[in-house]
Amino acid sequence: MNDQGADVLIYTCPFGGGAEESHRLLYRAAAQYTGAAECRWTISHGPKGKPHFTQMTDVHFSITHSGAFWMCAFSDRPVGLDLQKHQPCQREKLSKRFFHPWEDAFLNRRGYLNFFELWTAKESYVKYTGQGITEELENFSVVSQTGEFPHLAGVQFRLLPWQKEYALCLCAQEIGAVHLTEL
Amino acid sequence: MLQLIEEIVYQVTGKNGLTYDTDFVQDLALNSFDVMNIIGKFEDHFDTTIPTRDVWHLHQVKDVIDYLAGRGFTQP
Repeated sequence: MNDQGADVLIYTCPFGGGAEESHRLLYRAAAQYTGAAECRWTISHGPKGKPHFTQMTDVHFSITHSGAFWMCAFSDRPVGLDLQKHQPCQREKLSKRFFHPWEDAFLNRRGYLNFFELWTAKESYVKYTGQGITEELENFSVVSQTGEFPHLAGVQFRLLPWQKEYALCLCAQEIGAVHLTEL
Repeated sequence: MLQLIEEIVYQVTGKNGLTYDTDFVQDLALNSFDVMNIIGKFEDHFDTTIPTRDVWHLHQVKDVIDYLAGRGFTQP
């Protein structure tokens, strides 16, 4: 346990898709993270569907996948991780429809260039809290009233460098050291 | 309606071969952004607003068809 914040280890690997494959990768990554020979822990789900290991309450994880990659963040504290490949979409329309007015104003000032970074920040937050995207996304903002991004009271965000055409964001109460490694 | 859903999903994600039982997450491995992008396309097509809270209960293609039918959208 690091008093300076949650130390986070992120595993990444190529991903072909499918929940079964993601489940298999999670067990493989969890075994590596904990040093166990193999991982067969039971997975339970929170009220809004956030998965966790039933018996391993000090092992927190957050899975994400997009494009050709799968990732999973592990820590001894709750974390949220989101990866998103830049994809063709109507950025302005989706921003006005789904994002908070402060977020849309922030993106508008920048020609919507930071659209995917902002999306991953929002998604990492709802994964961190476990609330999921069950409520309206425009009800909270990862941009402050003064235009600071990423910003939300009570949590920290870290936009992580990854491959070109991808956005990647981590969220936790406090973030310590972060390492990415191939699974 | 199945054809319309397949067209929109293909436009957004490049994935096809949908059936009534196809699960968007389990079978197509769509993530939250894909789903949001698809919602936007449906809203454009039907000139309506679909509450975000409703969307996350629509797991399979048949759920979407039933949901749209329940809101009076039965014709593409």
